[in-house]
Amino acid sequence: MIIKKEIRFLVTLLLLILSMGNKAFSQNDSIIFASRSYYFALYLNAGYSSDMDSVAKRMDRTGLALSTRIMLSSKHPFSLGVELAYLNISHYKEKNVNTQFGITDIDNKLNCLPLLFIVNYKMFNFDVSGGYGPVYINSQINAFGEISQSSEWDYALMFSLGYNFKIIDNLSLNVTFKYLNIPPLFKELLSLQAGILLKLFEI
Amino acid sequence: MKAILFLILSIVFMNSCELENTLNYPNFDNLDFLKDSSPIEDSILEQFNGIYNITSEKNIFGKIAVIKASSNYLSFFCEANGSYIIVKGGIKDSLLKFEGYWRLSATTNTGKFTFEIPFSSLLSNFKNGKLDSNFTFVGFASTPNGKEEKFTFTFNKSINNSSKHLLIIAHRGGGRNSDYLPYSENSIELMKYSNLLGANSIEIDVQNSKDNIPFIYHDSFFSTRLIRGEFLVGSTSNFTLNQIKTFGMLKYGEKIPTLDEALRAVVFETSLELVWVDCKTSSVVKGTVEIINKYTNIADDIGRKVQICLGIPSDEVFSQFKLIENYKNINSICELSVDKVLDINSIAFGPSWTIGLLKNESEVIRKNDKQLFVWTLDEGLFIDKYLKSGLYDGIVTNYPSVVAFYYYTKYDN
Repeated sequence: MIIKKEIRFLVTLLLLILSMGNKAFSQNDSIIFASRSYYFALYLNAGYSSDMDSVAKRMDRTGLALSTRIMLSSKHPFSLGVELAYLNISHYKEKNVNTQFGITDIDNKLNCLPLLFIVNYKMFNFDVSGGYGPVYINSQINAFGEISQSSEWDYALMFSLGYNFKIIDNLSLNVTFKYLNIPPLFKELLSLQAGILLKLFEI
Repeated sequence: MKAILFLILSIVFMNSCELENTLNYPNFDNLDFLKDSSPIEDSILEQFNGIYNITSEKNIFGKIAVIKASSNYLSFFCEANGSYIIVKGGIKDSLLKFEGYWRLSATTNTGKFTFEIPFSSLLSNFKNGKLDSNFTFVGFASTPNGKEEKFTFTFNKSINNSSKHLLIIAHRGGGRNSDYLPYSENSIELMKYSNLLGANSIEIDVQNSKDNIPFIYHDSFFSTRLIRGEFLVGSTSNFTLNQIKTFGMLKYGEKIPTLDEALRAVVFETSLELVWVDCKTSSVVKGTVEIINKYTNIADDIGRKVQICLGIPSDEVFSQFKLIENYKNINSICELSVDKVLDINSIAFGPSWTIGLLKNESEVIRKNDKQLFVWTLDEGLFIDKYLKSGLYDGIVTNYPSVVAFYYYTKYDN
């Protein structure tokens, strides 16, 4: 069966929103209107990412992953926010490579910077999140004595599962497992990150 | 827990249906049915050229087909569903054997097609330079449900080989990637294959690399729609040609060709009559003209009749073209207006089909001994309408087999 990836993502996202909305209204409608206590939750995480594509064996497909997420939260299990991240997609470094144009040293990099709109569902100490938004792709090819840089904007979809260990009232340690999909590039990244969760500006 | 389960199911759903890129085409270099056979001479294959009636219980191909021979292959351009058949021939034990595939252009339906004919049957029915109406053969098409359907082809009449014939110009070298052809769009492999699809000319697209070398590529940016290449993202002019060719390949794995490589292949390895080199950006005009001039001269020197023309799709390209010395002597096809065609002495006016039939413009074009092309016609009804008008010398299409069917069955007078 041939289904365009874009359509699949839209259908998935729609189902996700409907499912979450249904759960929220069926269980927590009293909380929605009763809660007046809002605060910002700031996540600062660092870790490793890995491209799920393992076809190109010569490339290093793991690398640094950084993310910062700010969520508008309340006592309600759902919260909304944005996440800015940096992930290494792949890196290819090799000396004296024999090509059709002669021998050259290669040092290529491909990174991405997703800016995602996040919906988070809090369950006990777990954070289950879905995100969607633009992603800035940056590429550098260094070969044949020439460094060429290029970039483009695409869109990305993210799911994550995090766990929070409370240290003090407004500070927790956070460990998050993320799946990022960039459909226009057919890229799927897995990332494991750890960091802190700060509770800020209670309203 | 339901939310977690839902997320897992969502991820599974997203990865369960990958976009299929290629259909299951036969490998023409290794066909079981033609095992141990010898190639058939062109003069024998050409005896098949003609218009045939089809009889079958299934109406997959319609009731009429045009059969055209080209070196070692026969192409069938059929009436229904934009269908066509391409088979390779071989001779073994006095039997002419053919194996290949059938395809419906507008869908992904395809399957194996085979037939064999005693050589004596072809010879006994070929009299006075043409086949007689008793000549019949039976082909077998395998269908997606695993069955084999029988199709009887009966010769009806010859194809007229009129001296001034229609240019069937295959878009992007033969068709788009979205048409699921055996080769990537704008690949040299597809350009060489385009005549089997019904084309006698091609349109190709040219972009500029960072080091100003024209290469064949449609979009102004790299994308997975057209290429495979880990590090090739963003504008095509951000990378040098060596980097593009080393770190990228076309969708189905072919090399990304330079304009020089493409025109060399066209001149030396095809019988195409016209190449429309569509300049996608003004920065590539100068380099493109140099290469067009080079291969026009080479073709002249070896007596190869082919028109290589610079396509002018925008005012920016038009202005850049006029800065080139002796631009009026360079073959060009202008898409902009009749006035601009006359201004730069283009060989043809090539507007989009969306502006309708151009009766008044065609009179001016004829009066000035120019040609009129139209792009990009894919629907049978419109193809028929434009052919019926008799105004056009060439049609750019993603489905050359459909244009070939209409032209050879109705308008090749």
